[in-house]
Amino acid sequence: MSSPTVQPLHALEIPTRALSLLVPSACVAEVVSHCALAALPLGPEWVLGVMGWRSKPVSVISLEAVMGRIAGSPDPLPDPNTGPRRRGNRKIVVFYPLPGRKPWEFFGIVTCAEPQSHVVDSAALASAVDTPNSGIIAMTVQLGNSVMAIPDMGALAAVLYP
Amino acid sequence: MAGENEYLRIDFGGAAFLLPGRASLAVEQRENLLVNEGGGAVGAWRAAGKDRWPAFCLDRNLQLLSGGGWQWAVFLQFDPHPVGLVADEVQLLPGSEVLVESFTPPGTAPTRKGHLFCGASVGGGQVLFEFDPNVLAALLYQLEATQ
Repeated sequence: MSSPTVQPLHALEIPTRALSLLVPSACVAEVVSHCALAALPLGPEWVLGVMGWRSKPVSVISLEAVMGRIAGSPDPLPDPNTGPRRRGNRKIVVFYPLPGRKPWEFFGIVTCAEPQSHVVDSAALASAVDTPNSGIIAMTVQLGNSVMAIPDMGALAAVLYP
Repeated sequence: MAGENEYLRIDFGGAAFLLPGRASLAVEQRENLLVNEGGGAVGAWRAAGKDRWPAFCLDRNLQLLSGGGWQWAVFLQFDPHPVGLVADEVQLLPGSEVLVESFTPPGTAPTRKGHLFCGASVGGGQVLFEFDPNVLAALLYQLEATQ
């Protein structure tokens, strides 16, 4: 009896200021250029604002601030529309709703550079290394010279929709 | 009072929001209200028999604001008495002219009643959040208690 074959996984590297995320491409609805965000009144500090995407309102979050909030040391954030981090290569990665969530709950994560596609094989996945002290990171893997974090989508859902 | 399928677009503090038309108990012009000339977050009151309903001044972040050149007040039903907020402009939008999508604000709800917004309309590069009228009324009533 032959052992099951592990299919290569198409994944997207999402560079943020804190770390690079590696997520299955199937989780991502679209990568769009950074655009003006509407401030969400009385929202948490890690919500940068809300963008219009395909006629839907999509909350855009700062992964760094989410992780800072978990670690108890939130990073002060500049204004999402005018702050010094605004650069031409910044993107917003629009994610499909997280497992178990409502079908309209798309959300976006701001990147600090252009996301990159990767094909991840079982050998790479076997190279899991240290996990940072963050509840939303499930594991980290090394691809070439880069270490990337694989998010725990269930934990992220618990932060986004407590 | 607006109809079942209509929305009120309420502009204040340099931002605009939507309110389901069925939620508005009354929309009054400034000249029909008892304007609070003494300053403070209550912009005006609407006389209702022996009672009076407060209407609050809020900024775009829904923080209390003092004064302002508002022209309207929108009142919502609440127990023990209605509460309102003042606005620079109020516009009645037929349901056919505004597409409101469901929206769940991320994070912990800012009030005990839940999240303030239950939907949003996207168009023309603008996002208009739709208030949940029950939560908004509860928030305004809480503001009265702090005055």
